Amino acid sequence: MILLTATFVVLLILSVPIAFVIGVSALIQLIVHRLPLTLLPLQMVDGVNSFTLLAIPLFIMAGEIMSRSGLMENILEFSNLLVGRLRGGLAHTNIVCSTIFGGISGSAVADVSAIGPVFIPAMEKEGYGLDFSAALTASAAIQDPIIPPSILMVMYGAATGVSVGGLFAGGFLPGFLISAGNMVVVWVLARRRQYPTRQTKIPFQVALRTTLHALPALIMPIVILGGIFGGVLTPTEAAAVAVLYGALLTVFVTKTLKWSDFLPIALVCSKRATIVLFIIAGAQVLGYLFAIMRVPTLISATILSISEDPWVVIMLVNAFLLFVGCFMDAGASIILFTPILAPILHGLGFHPLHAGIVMILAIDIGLITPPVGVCLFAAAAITGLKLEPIIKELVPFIIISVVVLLVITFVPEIVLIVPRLFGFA
Amino acid sequence: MLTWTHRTLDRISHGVNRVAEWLTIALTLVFSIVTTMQVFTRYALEMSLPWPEETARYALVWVAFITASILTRESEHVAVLFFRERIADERVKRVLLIAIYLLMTVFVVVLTVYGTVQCIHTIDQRWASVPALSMFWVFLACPVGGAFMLVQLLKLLFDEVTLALGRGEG
Repeated sequence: MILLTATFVVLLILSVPIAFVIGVSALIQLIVHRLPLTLLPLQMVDGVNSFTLLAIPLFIMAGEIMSRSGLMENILEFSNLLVGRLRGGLAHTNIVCSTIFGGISGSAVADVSAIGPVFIPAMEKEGYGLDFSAALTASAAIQDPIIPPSILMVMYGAATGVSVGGLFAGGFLPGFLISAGNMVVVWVLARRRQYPTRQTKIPFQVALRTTLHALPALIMPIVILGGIFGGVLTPTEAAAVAVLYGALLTVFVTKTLKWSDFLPIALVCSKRATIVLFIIAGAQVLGYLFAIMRVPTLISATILSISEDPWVVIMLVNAFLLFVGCFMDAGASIILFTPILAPILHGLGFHPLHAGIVMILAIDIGLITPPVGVCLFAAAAITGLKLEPIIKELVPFIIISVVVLLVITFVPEIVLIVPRLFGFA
Repeated sequence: MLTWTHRTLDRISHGVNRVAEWLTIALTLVFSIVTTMQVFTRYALEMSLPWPEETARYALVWVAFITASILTRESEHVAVLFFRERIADERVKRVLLIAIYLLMTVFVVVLTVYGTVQCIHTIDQRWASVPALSMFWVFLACPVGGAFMLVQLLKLLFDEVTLALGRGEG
């Protein structure tokens, strides 16, 4: 156990790729425990041999098709129609756009790279300041993994055995809560800093046309969520249907993509999926060893010796995941830590969907917390800014996200209402 | 001699990567189409075929191992770079990088060797839905992916080592 933790932490700090940190640590343990080394390939293959995990590349593909479809412009105009008249209109539009994109794609980084290049220049032109625009785009993007569909939830479901459909339903209200929280921050700042607002009123006919143009993109989340919540499709099947819908839409209706465009799309999406799949493969070996070494029992005993109060334990878990999120990749955190932490929380009486959404949000916030946050990095890359000015503007958004985390931790109903409605809980 | 080795390694790594890219694209399209087809046959034709799900899962296994070699070549595996980026001395950084590549190489060699052993073990196991096919073809992803990664790592190692030596002399 000590050897395992030591090799793991040292290799991680030395910047060995996480998948190989896990693989090498597992390999050392196999040798120490005199287990056959064929367990390495056997468990690794077993780890990715999962129908649930197929949803990851498929949801990435659906999101990729939509961001290349040219339909993002239509979503932008539609969002602008909804909230553009508020003070700081374009900032609010950015948030709403992320909310809608969250219903199509399941990845926060995809959100930043789809929405950032459209919004950040536009916001700068209206005088918002590049640092604020970057910070806003990054923090609006963390809705993505909470608003269904979500790749982090698919990974959580695969790692802990909790229903992915149930998690999708559970993320519904918390996702909107983050969106609302971000809008409150923008509302306050917009007043103080006198951010501009859209002056012109949009005539009804134009509004109607904008809505009609956005409709094909808006149907996608309805298809995905309707299929899953209605109990007709599994998340993986829903992801496949979303890909088919996106493909037919972009090839035949909007004619923005050709069939040959799907070759580079397939490559991009398999690469993004493999970043997590290869980690999952290694984690399967480690999980096998954990069971032999009784690691979950040990960790659970340690945590429960600190306190047996459920609320203290869940706050400790939150603090731990927020801290880990500052340094580690969100997907890797889910795969490594949640299979150990989830049973402890379940044992203390937390509903599996509640515990799941709380932990996923805690890890998700790590996407924007310095020093290492992929959304923060993506926004910095788009603007060409250094991290420091963006981090300064991020502070109120990080605070509001943590507030939302506390609210859903202590009010389980916010998570559980929607799953109960559709029979997941 | 050095440039010859360099050029040959470059060519091999490039060729292997091309193969990996096309394999990945083909397999990704396979599991996308097969999964969509399964939904269609289940709900529209109301018949549940067992083989699409199994085929899609195994295609995903292959994608994971083959694409891992593409990520290795492009250094796109995620890592915690926080501390490495704070090393000021370029030479220390380069030595660290060489050490990391060596460690990855050791892991990948074990994966390839024991992956091959595992493949041979599973020759008599059959697919659940298509008994004509052996599980050998599924586990083959492991040594093939491992070998592809090995090629990319050797190329990266060679590049870094020659750079480090070149610096030492200069």
